[in-house]
Amino acid sequence: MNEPMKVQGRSSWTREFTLRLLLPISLACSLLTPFLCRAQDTRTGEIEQQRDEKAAHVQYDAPKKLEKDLFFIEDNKILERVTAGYHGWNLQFGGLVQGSGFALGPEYHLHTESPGSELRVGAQLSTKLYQKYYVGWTLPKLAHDHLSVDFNAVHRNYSQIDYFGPGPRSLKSDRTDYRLEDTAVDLALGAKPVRHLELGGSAGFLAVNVGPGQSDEFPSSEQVFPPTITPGIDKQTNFLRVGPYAQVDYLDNPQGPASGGLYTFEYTWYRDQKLNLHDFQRMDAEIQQYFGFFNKTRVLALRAKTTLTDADTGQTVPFYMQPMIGGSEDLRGFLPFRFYDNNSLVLNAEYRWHVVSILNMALFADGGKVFSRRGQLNFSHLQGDGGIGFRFNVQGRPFLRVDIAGSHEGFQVWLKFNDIFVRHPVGSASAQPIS
Amino acid sequence: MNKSLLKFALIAVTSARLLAADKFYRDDPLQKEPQPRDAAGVKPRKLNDYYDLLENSFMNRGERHGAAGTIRARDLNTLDEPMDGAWYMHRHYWNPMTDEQLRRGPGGTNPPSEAGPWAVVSAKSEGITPGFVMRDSKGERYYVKFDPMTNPEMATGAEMIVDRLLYALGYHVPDYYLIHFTADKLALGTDVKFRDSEGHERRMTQRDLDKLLARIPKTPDGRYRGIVSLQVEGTPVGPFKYFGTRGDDPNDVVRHEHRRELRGLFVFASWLNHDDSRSINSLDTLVPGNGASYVRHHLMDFGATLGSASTMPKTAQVGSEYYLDLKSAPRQIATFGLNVPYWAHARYPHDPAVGGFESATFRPDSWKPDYPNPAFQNRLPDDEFWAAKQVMAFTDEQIRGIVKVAQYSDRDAERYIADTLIARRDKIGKQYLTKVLPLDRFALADGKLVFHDLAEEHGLAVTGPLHVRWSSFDNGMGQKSPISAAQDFRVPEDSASSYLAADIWRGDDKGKTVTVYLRATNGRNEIVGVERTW
Repeated sequence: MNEPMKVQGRSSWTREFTLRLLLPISLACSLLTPFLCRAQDTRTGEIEQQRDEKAAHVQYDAPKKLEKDLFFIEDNKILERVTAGYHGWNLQFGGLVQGSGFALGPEYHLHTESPGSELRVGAQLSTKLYQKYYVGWTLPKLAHDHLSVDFNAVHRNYSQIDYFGPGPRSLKSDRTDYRLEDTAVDLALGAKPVRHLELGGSAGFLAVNVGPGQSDEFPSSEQVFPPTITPGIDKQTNFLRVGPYAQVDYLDNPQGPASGGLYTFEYTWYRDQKLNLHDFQRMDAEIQQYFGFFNKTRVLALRAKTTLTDADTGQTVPFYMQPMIGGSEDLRGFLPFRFYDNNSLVLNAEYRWHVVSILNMALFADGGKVFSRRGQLNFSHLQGDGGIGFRFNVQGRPFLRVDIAGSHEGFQVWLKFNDIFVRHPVGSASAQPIS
Repeated sequence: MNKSLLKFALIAVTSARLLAADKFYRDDPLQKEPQPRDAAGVKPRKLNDYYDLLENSFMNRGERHGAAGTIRARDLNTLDEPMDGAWYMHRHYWNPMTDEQLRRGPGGTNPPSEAGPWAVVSAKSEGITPGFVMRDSKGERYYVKFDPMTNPEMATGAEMIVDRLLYALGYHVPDYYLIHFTADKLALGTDVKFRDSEGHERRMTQRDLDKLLARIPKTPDGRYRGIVSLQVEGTPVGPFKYFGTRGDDPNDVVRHEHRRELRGLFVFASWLNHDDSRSINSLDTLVPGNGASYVRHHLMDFGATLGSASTMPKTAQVGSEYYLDLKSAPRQIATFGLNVPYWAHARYPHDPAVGGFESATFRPDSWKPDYPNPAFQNRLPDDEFWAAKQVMAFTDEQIRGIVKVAQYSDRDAERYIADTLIARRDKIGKQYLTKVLPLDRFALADGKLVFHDLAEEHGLAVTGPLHVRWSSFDNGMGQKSPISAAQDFRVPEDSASSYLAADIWRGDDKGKTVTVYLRATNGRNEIVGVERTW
């Protein structure tokens, strides 16, 4: 009963609307077009109308919160002060020995243009309470870049350096730790007779003290290893050290090489100044070679390095001065300082590839061994590992390295703020196992 | 019943007439933007470089084409062209410039005076590239920049060339000059402010100036080579963004991601390897004119173009992938890099003045700026065509002439840069001209519709003859009524309508058409509209 009434009502309303309102307006507009009913009849008018509407609502484009925060960092030179420092002072992140935990400390840096000297004075403390205090003064470009002088003094106090016993057959389960405390003062003089070649020599003094390790988890080294197995664990000495070095450097980019080579040779005489037990010679040789292809978006990076020591008759190389391998810088599938002996050999191969501008990746394989006699310098009985790496770059330079490596002793994950093939300064200061 | 029908029919006709806007207004086509409103209230603003990177990389700014359809450029006149004004000026393609005009660029008459010393009035040692501001004996202020030590002539040469080309392509750009000078030409002004490497501002000393000059390569005759630019006209009010509009500029009513000259800039940027074509390298200035001020939009800082990355040569990935190219990363990770991108095969000359610039691996449509640009990403085939036709308008000789402004000391570098620009130009033409029906520069001559067939002019493959279908056109209703008798490009004379439309296509490809609209006024036809489909 109600349906027809509803329809009737709607029809009536529609008719009224049509006849009384819509039709007259439509007819009027049609006749008066374009004078009354259209907002604009010119393109100019249309654009001006848009502008008028915008002008009625103009507002300043205030920066968003994130942008304001970034402006704060920019305006207050926070990045510059973190990286370049504030009146010479800056914060130094990392840089202590592997296994030290996160390290941080102040550094004063004074750079002078003429004759181009760099002075650095600093101190660092890590989460495991490793300490380092240092002074370095470098004149790298004397005599029109043909001569260099490098002075370094450092005191280190590392509370829990790992030690697993001597030789390649040491057991992971024999892990112990010791405190290494040393003070070194070295002076190196270098000459660059031709491009890419540096020849030089260095001399220095080294005082070493070894104490009980501070780890709660592992026994202290002297509790497990007697002096007959681990020479020098009971008494430490001071050394005078001197020796020549040579380096050929034709890397394309020292901060992130993709082609070229770096060859380093050092020979150092260590003379025991206190106990007359530890006179020895040490030879370090390292070859780094980089092959970049596809516009250096793929790089094959190879490294071979060996350290050979030779104690004088009746003398020994103390364990804390023995070559040691294992960890983030050489055998990445093993714990830091996993193997100690009188000699060492390390081989590394990396295939690196470009993923995006901020990320390179790497597949790598490491091989290495320690050995007691120099005659054992060969490729047999190598410890091996392999893994994958992620290298994060900032402005084309390596910034952060994450390497995941596996070996028969398990997996290791390394997070480091350096290149795997760390470029050490040459000279006697670098001819030291834990650098 | 019949009465009702009649009423409704009358209403429908009149309402449709009322609601339908005319397609063409009586002042169409506008060649210039209307006189701008006063924009004196515009305030200076800054843009944070890192924020711009993050915003454009991850926040998907700007209005994009959606499921509802594509969004054509919106700053155009009815001829499908942007209007002369604050953003753009029609130049070389429409009014061929002489060789001298092309070399001169935006100014060319106001280099630093050689009379008297050049007074250094401010400087910075931040960043890797040194630079300072100087004033010559006429009192003009110039911004001075230099090449990196490793690559003399690279950045300054690129900036000179690209400045001239972008000017000829229609943009507002600074007036650049190359200078050569010895250290004794510079005089340190009094109380010159200097920002040191730690960001501290202090008074500049002669030693600071010496240190700055020590980082600049010298020419064999012991002089320094630099590039100077005059301050662009007007008061700087900060950069423009490639999306949205400037909120305090009443004249800025078209979203930037829908501006033809910003969409088309992608093509020019790819040609010139201008990966640094981002907001931070733009500048808005408040320019006085006719008693009011308006905002003019400039492109600037072209030191990172061609093979130059300003402080070093470009690497292969620059111009080929975004800084944070998350799309290509998974493939590179999964394939352990064995999937070598095409751009990694690029080969560059061992010429420090050239840097990383080549044409063999250049793919115009795959080229990328440093990070996503909403206007570039919104480009459509008609935007690309608009840009490509301008690129193709430069002859080999004109390109070689412009490259000479870089004053390379090595003729091989000059030849290589010109050859590479020519080769990249040709790739651009091949890529974009045929995405649409490449007919342009329509005109009426001897009662016929005439035009340039850019495919034929540039030697591109064409398939079949051109066809035309004439219609009378109802400007209010937007309806075409075919004129069956008209079969060629002769304009029909007996049309009852004041508007005609000519639909043109080639061969059997009716997907790519150009429609040209003619309006008869006082017995004379004029072209009022051009539309393209693809």
